[in-house]
Amino acid sequence: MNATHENLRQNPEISASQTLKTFARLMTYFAFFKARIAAKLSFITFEHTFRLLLVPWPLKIIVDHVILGEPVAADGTGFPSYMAPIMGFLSNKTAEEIMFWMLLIGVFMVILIGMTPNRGTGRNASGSYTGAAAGSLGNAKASLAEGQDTATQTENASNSAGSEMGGILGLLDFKIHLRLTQSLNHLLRTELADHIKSLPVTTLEEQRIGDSVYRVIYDSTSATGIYEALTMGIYSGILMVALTLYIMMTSFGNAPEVIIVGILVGPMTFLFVIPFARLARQRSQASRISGAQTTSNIEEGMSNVLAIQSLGGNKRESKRFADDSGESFRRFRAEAIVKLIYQHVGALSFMIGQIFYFVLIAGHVIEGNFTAGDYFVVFYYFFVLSAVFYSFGFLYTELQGFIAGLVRVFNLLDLESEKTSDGIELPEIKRGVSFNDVGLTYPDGREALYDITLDAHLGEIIALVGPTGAGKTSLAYLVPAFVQASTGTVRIDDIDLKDVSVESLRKQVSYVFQETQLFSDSILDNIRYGNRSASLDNVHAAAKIAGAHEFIMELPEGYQTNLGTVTSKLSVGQKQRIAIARGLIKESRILILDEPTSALDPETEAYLIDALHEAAKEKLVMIIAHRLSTIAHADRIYFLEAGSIRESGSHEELMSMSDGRYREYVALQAGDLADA
Amino acid sequence: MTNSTRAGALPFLGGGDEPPSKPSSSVAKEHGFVAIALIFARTWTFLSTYVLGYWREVPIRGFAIRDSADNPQWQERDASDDSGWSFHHVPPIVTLAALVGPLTGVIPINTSWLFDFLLALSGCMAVLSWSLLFLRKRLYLLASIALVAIGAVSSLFAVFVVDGVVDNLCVALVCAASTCIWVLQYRFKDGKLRIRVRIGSHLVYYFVLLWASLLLLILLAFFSVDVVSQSILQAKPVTPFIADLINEPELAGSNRDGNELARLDGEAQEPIIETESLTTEQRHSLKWVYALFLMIGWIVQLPLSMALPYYYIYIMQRVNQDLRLALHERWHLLSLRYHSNHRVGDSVYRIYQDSAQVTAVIGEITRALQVIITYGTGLMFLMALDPILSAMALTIIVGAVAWGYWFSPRMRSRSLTSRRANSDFTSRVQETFASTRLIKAHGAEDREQRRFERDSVNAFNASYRVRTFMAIVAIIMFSIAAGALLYGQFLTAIWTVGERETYASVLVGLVGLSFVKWNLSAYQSAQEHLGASSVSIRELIEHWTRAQDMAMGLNRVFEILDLEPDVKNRENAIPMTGFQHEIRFDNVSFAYEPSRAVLSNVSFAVKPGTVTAIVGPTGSGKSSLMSLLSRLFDPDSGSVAIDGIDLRDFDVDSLRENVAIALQENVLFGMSLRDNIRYVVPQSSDQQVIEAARVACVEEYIDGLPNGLDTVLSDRGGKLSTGQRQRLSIARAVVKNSPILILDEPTAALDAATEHRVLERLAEWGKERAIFLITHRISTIQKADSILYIDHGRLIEHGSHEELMKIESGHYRNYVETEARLSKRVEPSRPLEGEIQ
Repeated sequence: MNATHENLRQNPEISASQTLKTFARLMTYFAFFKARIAAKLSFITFEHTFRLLLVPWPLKIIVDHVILGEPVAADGTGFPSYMAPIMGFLSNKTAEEIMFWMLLIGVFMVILIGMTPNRGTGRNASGSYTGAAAGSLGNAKASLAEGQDTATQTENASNSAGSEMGGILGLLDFKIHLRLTQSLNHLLRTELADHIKSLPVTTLEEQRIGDSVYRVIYDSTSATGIYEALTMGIYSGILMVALTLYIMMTSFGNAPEVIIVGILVGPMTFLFVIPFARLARQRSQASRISGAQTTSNIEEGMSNVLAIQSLGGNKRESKRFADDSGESFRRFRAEAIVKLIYQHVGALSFMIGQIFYFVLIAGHVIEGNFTAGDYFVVFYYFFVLSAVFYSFGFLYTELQGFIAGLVRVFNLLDLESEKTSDGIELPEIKRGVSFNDVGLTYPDGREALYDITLDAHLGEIIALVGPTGAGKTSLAYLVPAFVQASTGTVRIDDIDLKDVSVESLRKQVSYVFQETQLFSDSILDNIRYGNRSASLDNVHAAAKIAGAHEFIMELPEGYQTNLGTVTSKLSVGQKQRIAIARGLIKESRILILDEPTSALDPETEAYLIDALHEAAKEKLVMIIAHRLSTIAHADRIYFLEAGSIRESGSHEELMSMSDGRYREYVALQAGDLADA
Repeated sequence: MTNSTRAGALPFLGGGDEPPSKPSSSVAKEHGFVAIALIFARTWTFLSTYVLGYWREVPIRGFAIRDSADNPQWQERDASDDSGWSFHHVPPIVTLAALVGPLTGVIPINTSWLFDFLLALSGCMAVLSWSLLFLRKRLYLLASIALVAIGAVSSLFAVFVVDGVVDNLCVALVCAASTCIWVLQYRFKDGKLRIRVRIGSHLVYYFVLLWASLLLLILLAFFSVDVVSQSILQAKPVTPFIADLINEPELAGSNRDGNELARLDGEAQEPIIETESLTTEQRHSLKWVYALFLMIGWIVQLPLSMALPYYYIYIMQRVNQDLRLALHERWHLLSLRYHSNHRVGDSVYRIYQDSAQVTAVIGEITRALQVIITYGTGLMFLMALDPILSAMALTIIVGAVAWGYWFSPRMRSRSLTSRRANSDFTSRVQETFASTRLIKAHGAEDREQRRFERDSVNAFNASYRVRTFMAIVAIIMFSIAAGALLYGQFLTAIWTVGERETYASVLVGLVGLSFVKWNLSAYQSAQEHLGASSVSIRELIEHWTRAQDMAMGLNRVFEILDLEPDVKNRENAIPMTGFQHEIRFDNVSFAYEPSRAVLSNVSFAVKPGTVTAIVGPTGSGKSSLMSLLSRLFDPDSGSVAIDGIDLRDFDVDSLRENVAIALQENVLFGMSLRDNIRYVVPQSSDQQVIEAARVACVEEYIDGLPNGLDTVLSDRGGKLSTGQRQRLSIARAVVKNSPILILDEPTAALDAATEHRVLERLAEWGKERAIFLITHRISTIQKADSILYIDHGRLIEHGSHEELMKIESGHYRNYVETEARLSKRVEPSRPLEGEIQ
């Protein structure tokens, strides 16, 4: 097994060093958002400074100087030095005048930053502001209702934004933050999608569609939580601590216990919580894997509704979905319970810090070193400090859930992609394709082809024939470099395909797949998919050759019919004809048809074969087919069996080999046809 | 496209381009308050299970549990079984419980109005519980609600207003007894006493526990403040209750002689506590007691605070799961007519994202109720201080309603746009990854990537509009509320300076207010309550804003649930048991759209033990004809009947059990080969699976795999060749062992040798069964017992190969000859083929 595939499928253990690398790697993305992040951080700076340094004072002014009627000291005694000018201004005002100025300042603050000056300190048991304190804050936020599993919570995660302010500045801050989060998510998910499309076909076959969908839509949003914690979280925490210390020093003198105990809460929380980091990561990973499984299966079931209904599989499908969805919910709960446990364990450290601190300060009060009033003030600062360090202690463990998601994104980004634009530009094909001793082994060890040697030139029709599983499709895949030869060389016009840029190669090769895939666009756009500049006449001509024109014209909207809405009304044969028309219209030198005629009726087939002969004058046509009526027309037939070419030559030559494998094959095929 | 252009794809600020299609605003506008409430009400179906719970019988003394409990939620919550169950035992118990208080002297009569009020409440509960025995329907409902409300009020009153613990217990006893009406009932059946209990009312349990834990927190906070700020910091004695609690009676000061009642009797005796101070040692020891108390308090609330969030997630996931499953099941029941018009990604988004909104409904409603209660009490308090203040708190509502009237429809329209844009993006992601191979073959990676990025940008722009709008709504709402707050602050400050009288004097003694004139504490209380009421209104608006979005999501969910499947069971549908005589198509016509007939007037009959080939040009209606047989569609006119019974009379599931189809598009699932083969009949033994694999000639391939049947396939059978996948899907049809088998070109990709082997084995396996075969391959067609030649939806020729070949210039003959001419272009090969014959 290839190591990269192992990465995708299994549930690899994420090591601590990998976690740090993932952080570092995400940091490199920040470079794209320097201006946005700088703007956001300056808003935080402004808000913190304003809130901590200025907002507490109006309340004091009103209480002390209006209600209790104490005179205002002109030199600003009792206030920090930076308040002196304001106090000087208010010093000779009456109570009414002061209240008028407060009202004016209030209106100004509401409009500008969405706060009123009467900021209280009331908090409820769970720590959120109550009463006047809550009423004074109008910070900008917007979150929508969400469900109880990872997937349904990502819509909020990918649009996470908020401001500590309201009003005009808060809205501005909010908008910039929202755009920042969205941009990061947009970048990650589009880069990932781009990368998935560039993976080699062999890798894609291993990768479930639903899993890719989950990674692109849901896992990529993990980045939000990490970048917010690493930029805004840390910055705002440090700023908060610095400002609090400044105020403590200037207003209330030095209290080293507060600082030391407050800071110690951080490492203590960290030590308490760190043992859960691995568990949190694993649970989150399991939850995401299970979520991806659910999306895969629901998507698979829905895409195949025809099959499920006709097999009578409704109940089975419902049960499968119920199981998957139940499992993904269960695993999300497992993740949630780990989170709950470590949060409570972490809270224990906060508790211990608080109790220790209480005993310390209460001792001072009892001994008469502090007044009762000092107790509350100092305790408030302790709370601010320790809350910041408490959250720092959690940081690493809380990010584990996101790490699991982000690692899933980066793992996929790390899979080697096809180097589509590396190599030389392939000039217009003049001669043809030659295989020299080509062998092909798939990454999972399946040996698909051995010793393939063949030559095919423009102007020829080549048929690849053989029992199912003989390697016909693998052989054809080598030409547009969907897979690379493991041994030997494939050349076009004497240029080794390994040296050629895949992009320029595929421009000249047109491949019609066995299984038809149509896009939910108009039929016209579907046919023109490989050649946007094709005229309407060209489209009609190609559709006529493929036998599609007639039934398309019968549709009410003709070529404008949107296939997204009628696909199941078209029969498989009709879809196949649209796909063939798409292959024909592409201006390519090599046309590969993988069982194009299996679902066609003889008449359409006859028409197509004639048209191919016409086209083959300037093209190389390679057909994989079982039907005798299709292959008998080929210039040369390669009969494959178990991965190697057994016989080659024209139909006549091969039929003349008395115990040839091809002849036997044809005999069975033609069967009783002779009676006809 | 580089990462740096991607990083700048969204504007620094601003909404970006308008989304391509705005939803008709009429859709959003026609949903007023009532419509939103109706959408929310519809979620009741999914929530009721977790509110009402279900009944389960309790075994009494060795009686066996009559427990039909595979799926108790659904089976035992039946109202039909309500007969005979009664709660006659409850009213006497409630009455007794109500009497316990006065009889034991715990709640004495006529000593204090507090106790009398409590007694009155208990009495009311007893009366109501008796009345419930006789009332019916609406009155019953009203009485129940009254009972619950009075119960809640009396417990709160007992806990917060009346001091002491014992009275709490008395009230709790009355409440618990009343609860039995709802959770415990009995009946006599066959002379035996049976008891049933209601369990599984998770949402009720949750909210009761939640409020209980809130009460606990508030009580803890009360005690903390008391002990810390009074005793430790200011050396005042602790209250006797706490002194008792910590077993240090001497800390309570010297008024220990008064009995409990004396203290309880409120105002008059309150300040008797002597002002004797605690000593420094006592304070130091109290300090440690308090530390211990904090620790114990933390440990006590630990189980609840850990279990409750988990419990909430658990309940909400189950609610969501029910809705998801209902949606998913309905989606799969819808006929192909619906599916052909919808993108898969859209359905995934509805089932995943839109349905998750249901989990928030109950939370939003209960929180809105809490907010309204907070607002009401705040308003009353302000009224007591000054009517002008309460009027100001009321003006916030007026502003809120006016603002809500303007923004609600706009919020809905933005929300709908956003949900559509995000759903489109989900579809794009899914479609892009489903067709990666084709994109590569055409070198269209860049083009697809541009489409992808455009859809991603559109989705983000739409989300940006919703969320910015929400933020603006909240900011404007804050500004309205702040107006009232600022002016209120201004007024009250001026009043305080002027020592204006408050209106609270009438209430002094009742609520414990003592502000006769405006003073500092009146000012601060006014700020607190004005602030709290403004927050309440703002929260209400926030919930309302979010409700707009939830309603739009839920509406998209109900759109699917509202679709009636057009193929469904009739009433009295009979199960199909087998197939003995014939399958008859009688004048069947069918069209997807009225203008485009797919089948017209097709009639034929088929007997068991025959192979019928269906032949005709591509798109002539062959597959549609066969889908009628398993009722993927119903014919527009005419009938399809098995053994004389119209298919529409059969139960759909039993019919489909009897029809096996191997399809043209071979669908394999991302599970093991074994599970793929027995997809529809998961109970099949390995033996049966291997036998089916043998019939389909895929057993050699499976044997060759290192993991055999356990090999897990990647998406849709990923790397298997088409031929292998076709044979697996044949095996899947065979293992169903049904009397009717339809092979819709599943052999097209097989080489002739394999196909012949498959058909031989099938023919041998298919004795007594009817096999239908759609194919273009002449060598296969010839072997059929009869051939139906279909063109443009009409049955043109019907007969055996020989019969049809005899028709001069017949369609079938022409068809065969075209094929033959093509393959025999090379003349010399004719004799060769002859030789082999």
